[in-house]
Amino acid sequence: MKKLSAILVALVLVAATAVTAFAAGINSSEQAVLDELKTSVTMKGSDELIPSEYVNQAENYFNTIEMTEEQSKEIIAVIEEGKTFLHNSGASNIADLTFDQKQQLLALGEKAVGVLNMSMSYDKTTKQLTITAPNGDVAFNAVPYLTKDGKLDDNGVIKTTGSETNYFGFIAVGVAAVVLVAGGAIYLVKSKKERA
Amino acid sequence: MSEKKHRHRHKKSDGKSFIILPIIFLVGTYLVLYLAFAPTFSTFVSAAGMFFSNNEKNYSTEYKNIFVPVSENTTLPTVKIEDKTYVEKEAVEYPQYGNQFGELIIEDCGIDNKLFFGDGDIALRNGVGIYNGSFVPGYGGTILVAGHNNTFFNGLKYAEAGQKVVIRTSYGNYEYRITDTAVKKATDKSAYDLNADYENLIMYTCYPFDELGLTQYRYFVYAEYISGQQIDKSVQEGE
Repeated sequence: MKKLSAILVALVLVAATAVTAFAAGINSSEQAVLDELKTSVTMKGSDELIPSEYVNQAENYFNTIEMTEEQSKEIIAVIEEGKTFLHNSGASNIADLTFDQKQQLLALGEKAVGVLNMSMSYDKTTKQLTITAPNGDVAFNAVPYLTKDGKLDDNGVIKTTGSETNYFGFIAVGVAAVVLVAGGAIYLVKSKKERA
Repeated sequence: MSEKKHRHRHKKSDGKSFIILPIIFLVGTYLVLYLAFAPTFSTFVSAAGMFFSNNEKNYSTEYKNIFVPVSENTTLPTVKIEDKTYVEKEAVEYPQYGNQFGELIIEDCGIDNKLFFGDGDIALRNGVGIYNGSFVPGYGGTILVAGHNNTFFNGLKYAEAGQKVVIRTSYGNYEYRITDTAVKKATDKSAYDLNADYENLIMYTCYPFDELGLTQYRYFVYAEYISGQQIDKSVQEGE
């Protein structure tokens, strides 16, 4: 009986103090990748950096996963390969690369994120690069480029937070409303004439 | 002759009735519908927009909610580093892009919204969202929060220095105090510092409030950190 009650008390204590453990922050493997992302690449004699906002996005994603040392080394090797490629490209920024060079850089990017079973896609119209986690969640979404001061140049940080602007939608609904009102008016005029 | 004149006048009056009047109706209808039925109307506008947009927009309202409110007297596992107490990193479920992971409340402004990680379409349609290039509360950095000016952040127009902002998450509750408000251009990089090594909260929405369409200005509300357990960020050895 004593044993049974001891087991029960132990079970109650375990249940009461149990806390769910999640992927634990940044480990040394992830930190090594972040450090590598923060180092500059020399393009046409000028030092260029990945905007810190993009590195922050990587840090936020790394907080949700556990990267192994092996994965970290593999990713760093691809990043270094990418830096050498950019250095030898003769371009002053990613935007200045030729189509073929951009394709090669994209292939290197796919190789790097592939280590973590992530996928990468590029939207030509919006010029946005999206990196998707294995579960389908977006891990990174931005226009890829490098800057001298490590800060974003474009308007990618601050979003459009006015009323949702969908001009085509407004026009379509507006035209439908006008057709309805005009149709009603014609019907009323006709029926009035017929009665007269 | 008089019959011809009569027909001509009749044609003129037809043109007036069926061309000019519908245009006036169009403008009038927009105005009335926008002012009176904007929230209901937006659903139809979004649906109609789907047929005309080339972009693959996600009109789904589905999102993952990982927010479990923490009551005031709940004790989360903590760790002591150099005389400071932090929330144990294993006790923190970091949100992924698009997750609802908390609530943002400014009582004085009538704001009580769901807080998302990421400021994409779905997040801003359901609440307010943290830019994923900034950080979550308790991380010791800048928290940059966006919200629509005609819905969830409309109340920011009542923001004044000294007012309290509360952010509730599953790993703790955080309090901030509004220090300043400012109208700046969306492209103004001095409006925020995402490299800050101290915790601070920046909320923004389009300005002027209730503006229909695009605007280049944003209304920024700045707040300083007051309380809430910081997360342990010490780097641990990898596997």
